[in-house]
Amino acid sequence: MNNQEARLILQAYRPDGQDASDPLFAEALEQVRRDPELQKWFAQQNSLDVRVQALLEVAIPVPRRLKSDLLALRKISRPAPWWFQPMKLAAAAAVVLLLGLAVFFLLPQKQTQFASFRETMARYSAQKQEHIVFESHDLAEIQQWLQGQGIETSFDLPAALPGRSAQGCRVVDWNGRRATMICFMLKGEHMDLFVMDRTGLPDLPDTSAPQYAKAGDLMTATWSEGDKIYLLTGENKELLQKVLQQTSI
Amino acid sequence: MNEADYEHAVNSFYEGLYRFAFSLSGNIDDACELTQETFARLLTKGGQLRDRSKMKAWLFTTLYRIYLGWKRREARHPHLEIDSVEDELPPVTPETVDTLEAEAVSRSLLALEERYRVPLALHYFENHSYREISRLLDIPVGTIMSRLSRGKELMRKLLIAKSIGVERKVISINPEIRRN
Repeated sequence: MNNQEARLILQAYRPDGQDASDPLFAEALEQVRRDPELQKWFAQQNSLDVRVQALLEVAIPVPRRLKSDLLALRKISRPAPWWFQPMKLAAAAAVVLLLGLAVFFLLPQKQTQFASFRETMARYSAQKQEHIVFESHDLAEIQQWLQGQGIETSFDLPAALPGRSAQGCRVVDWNGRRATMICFMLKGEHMDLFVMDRTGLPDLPDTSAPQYAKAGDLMTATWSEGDKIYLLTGENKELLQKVLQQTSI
Repeated sequence: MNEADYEHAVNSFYEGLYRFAFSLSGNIDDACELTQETFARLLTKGGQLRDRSKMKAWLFTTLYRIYLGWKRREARHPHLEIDSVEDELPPVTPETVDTLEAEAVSRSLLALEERYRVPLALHYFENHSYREISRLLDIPVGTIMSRLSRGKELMRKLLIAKSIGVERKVISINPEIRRN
């Protein structure tokens, strides 16, 4: 091994000595012991690495809130998304089904079409089993999948929902009509966005300003744009307002 | 994953993960989001991780995969082209680095092409070994060694270039203004 080869290998050596017993470095380290010039270079490299490592820690300070946000994740996010724990969800699905039936029978019979749409979408949002059918973080893939299902995808997403927070999607049914559901997980907060052609909802207020209403355990925000109705579900109103006002959550 | 394991993972690795995320994305918001999404996945998929000794590798691999997913849709991180000047630069010594601000070191790392920046970031943050980096990035050991070597060389030359730039700027401005 010549000095050039030894230098290349030794650049991967960690200065705290963790690699001292690694056979891959043995020959290069032996060369260091034999050659004073290489020894000087190696000492300098180690010293530089230690210094660079220390400076990088100073240069990239970790935001103060990050740790508390991360620890809070376990409380604010669901312990495990439903689509990853199918075995645990049979009981939950039964409860949801019973709740759904209870809601169906207990709700006033003269519910408006709009209210019915909102309640139904909220139930889909709360559905734990097969919450999404197509799993992807890529909105382009999601769009492609939806198009493959015959869904027209020329709708706008709230700008505060970046594509990378998407989890997947499915097509849901409301009174024989098809609505798109896209699931998002943004900084640990679960949200579902539903989009449907609004022509089937004659009593829908014609407003682009979101209307907030509780549906089941979820808060919903509904607005319309063009020929589409949009409905966003989330844990609480504040969260939905932040997303729709394009502020960081 | 139980609460104690999760808390231990956060305490042990969040700083290194954040710095790695920052070295990938180059901005605080994305670095925070990458770190948070990584831990969100630990909460949701951590049950699959039976061997807790592999937690560190799992977290860094997961973060890197999330980043790759983002990157498919986003523009490539800009990098500086220094090949044209590198032969004219003086050698780097620890004393040179001492005179540089921490920010200059970080900028030099961020300015590297991704193929050098990513293994180097893993090498410096959380002290990953070349073997761990090889496994994490799924790149052969020999390639990792060569990228670490070349990456360090490029980063140090960038540091020198910045150091020379700073020197020239200092000479050209009024000492009174420098104090402000």
